[in-house]
Amino acid sequence: MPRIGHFVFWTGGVLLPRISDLSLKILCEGDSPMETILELNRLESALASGKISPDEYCRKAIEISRVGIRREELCARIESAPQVEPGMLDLLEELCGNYDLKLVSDYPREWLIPILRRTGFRRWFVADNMFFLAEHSHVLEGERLFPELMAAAVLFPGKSLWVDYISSRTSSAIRRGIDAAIFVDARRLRRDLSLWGLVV
Amino acid sequence: MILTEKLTLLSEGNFHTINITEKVRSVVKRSGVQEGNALVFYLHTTGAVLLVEHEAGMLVDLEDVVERIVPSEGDYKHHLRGYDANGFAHIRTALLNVSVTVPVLEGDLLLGDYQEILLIDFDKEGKPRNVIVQVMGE
Repeated sequence: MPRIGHFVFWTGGVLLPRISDLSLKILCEGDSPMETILELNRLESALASGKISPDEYCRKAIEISRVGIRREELCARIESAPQVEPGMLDLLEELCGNYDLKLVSDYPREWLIPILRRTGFRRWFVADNMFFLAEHSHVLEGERLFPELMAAAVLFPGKSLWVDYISSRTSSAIRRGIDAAIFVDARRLRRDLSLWGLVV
Repeated sequence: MILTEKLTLLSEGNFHTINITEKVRSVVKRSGVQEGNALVFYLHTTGAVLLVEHEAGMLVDLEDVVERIVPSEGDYKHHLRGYDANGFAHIRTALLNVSVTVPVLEGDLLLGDYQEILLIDFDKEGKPRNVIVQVMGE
């Protein structure tokens, strides 16, 4: 059994909804064309890696969806929209008593900090425990994510548990000696963690 | 009663895994079927539908075993056409399942405690992938 000392959570898709999913809900009614979804996913990646700013993300998302709202309105609605994934508040409350909690954010800092405050997450994630991908723009390219996170003392093999919804990333983590759990929803995560002996 | 729906999901390819249990469950609920079957059928020749525990370590093991049995690099005669170079993906699909059938009882999927419905895309390139969910029963 690993001696886990801290958890490292991917943000969009685990703690909070993905930015692309939020954008789709705001900009598109009903089923969205696959091309729109693909474009928004590409924008989300560009935002996460710092290649575009939040303002540029909103401008381009509006262009893609051809909806007539202002950029400032979309930015404001994205910032005010995210609700915590159901069940995660209780789980994090339980974990913080015994483990350090860290996050790796694909949200830009200017959006995430107010969201953390509003949703109640802020009390668990101190400044030193947040790693913003946009501020390390090369990290998302290729196989650099986990070596960079280890170099930045975010992840420690044998002591960290990486929580992510993307299986290619959890597999990469495991291949580098970092324990990982796939996030589907809070119920399943809690069950997985209980099998690890990390929660009751 | 029979309800057939198509799910379109975005895959990144390269053993990308998508848990579609809740999506299938939603189709079952929409169907109104209380007792019957739900067929999950992958409409491609380069991936699989599996009923497995969706656990991160297991996925690494599965990828390693599949890679040992059907390496992603190899002298695949499928490539002789010159159209694509995903021969390994086709063979992996041939050896695994493109569909699963799950019983439906009391209006819900009758799954074991650790069973989840996963799609795995073996192809090299990410693209939208289609799955048919057909719920039959009364």
